[in-house]
Amino acid sequence: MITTINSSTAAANANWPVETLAVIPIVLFLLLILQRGLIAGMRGPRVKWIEQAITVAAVPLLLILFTTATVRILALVSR
Amino acid sequence: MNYTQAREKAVAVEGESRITELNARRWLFWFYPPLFFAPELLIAFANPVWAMLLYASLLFVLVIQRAFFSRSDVERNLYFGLILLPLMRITSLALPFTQLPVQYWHLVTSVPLIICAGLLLHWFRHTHSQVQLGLGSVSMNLAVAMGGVALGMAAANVLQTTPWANVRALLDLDTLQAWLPLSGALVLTAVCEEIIYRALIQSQAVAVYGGGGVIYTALLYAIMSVGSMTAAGIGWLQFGFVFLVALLLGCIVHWTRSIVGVSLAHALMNCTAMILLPLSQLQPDSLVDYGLTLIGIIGAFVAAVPLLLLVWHLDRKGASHT
Repeated sequence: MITTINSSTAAANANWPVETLAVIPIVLFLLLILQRGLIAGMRGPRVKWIEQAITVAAVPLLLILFTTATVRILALVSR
Repeated sequence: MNYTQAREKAVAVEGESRITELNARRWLFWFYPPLFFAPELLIAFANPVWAMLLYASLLFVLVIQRAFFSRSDVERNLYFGLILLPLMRITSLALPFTQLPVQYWHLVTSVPLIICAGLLLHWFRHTHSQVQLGLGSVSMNLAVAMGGVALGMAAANVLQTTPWANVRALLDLDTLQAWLPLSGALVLTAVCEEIIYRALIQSQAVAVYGGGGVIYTALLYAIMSVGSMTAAGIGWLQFGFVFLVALLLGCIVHWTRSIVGVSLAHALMNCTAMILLPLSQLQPDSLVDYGLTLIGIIGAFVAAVPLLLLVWHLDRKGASHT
């Protein structure tokens, strides 16, 4: 029993690699706008809460981009 | 600070009307399981890109709700834990699996999630949250782990699990190239899931709902497993089975106050369902086949007896306190 990758996500991933990957930079960009927009003129602990939530959301997305780039470069090099 | 303390503090500061507000907001969390169910169905039956956009929207909703609409640390932490679920699905959909050997898929997906979970655990410590990461009793953890083989055999039969790795293809590869990364990845995935569901989400859900938090987490786990069931259609039996296993694992964490035992059991369950059982089925009626069944039966007894004793002991302790 695994929820991180199940048979549907693996099948969907195989069929839609490029389109799904395009979502990541968009989400990262929107998170950045959200962070800038929300924090502007704000003080107190809420600034910390927003920054923490955005960091948690952004870290794996950046790692995905990094992994994808590495995998693609390795694929190109091995050819 | 748990929910009761947060509520008492709110009453002291702002009066009775605040209690009603806190109680109302508490039920908001129950909107999320159906919200996670919808994109899972989209992935299985329709367009995964729409599902991914839906998950991205949910991510924003959770970030905003955590920042603006939560009033206590436990609420904020539970939203934090829930953020990991859309991230988990976005990660598994976006990574280029087709360009990676199958034995590395789980490894590559688990690493970003574990880093994220580590960040959350670090922040949770600052809010003095109850996160069940302690080692607990070594003997109890080993006993619980023994139940993993039986659970794996049951999972493979009920869910009709297709082994991730094509066993016959992997048998042709060298052990180090194929089985070690796959086994390591299955263990890492189990640990990653236990940290996310049981250590992060369940600990906060229990702080919000009490014992109901275990049911809440098990429901989320079953919903996130829906994609595995679609190969044979989504059956209530399969959904119920995953829910019950998640409930059992959640209860064990709740009773033993440690995720070590269930992580080991979960890892053994994955390895049994996806490696050992398909391997033993290549040689039906062999020593390996019978040996696995025997280990499963013995393991189930070894796990059940100390757990029943623990529940009986906790029950007696509770009765003597009242």
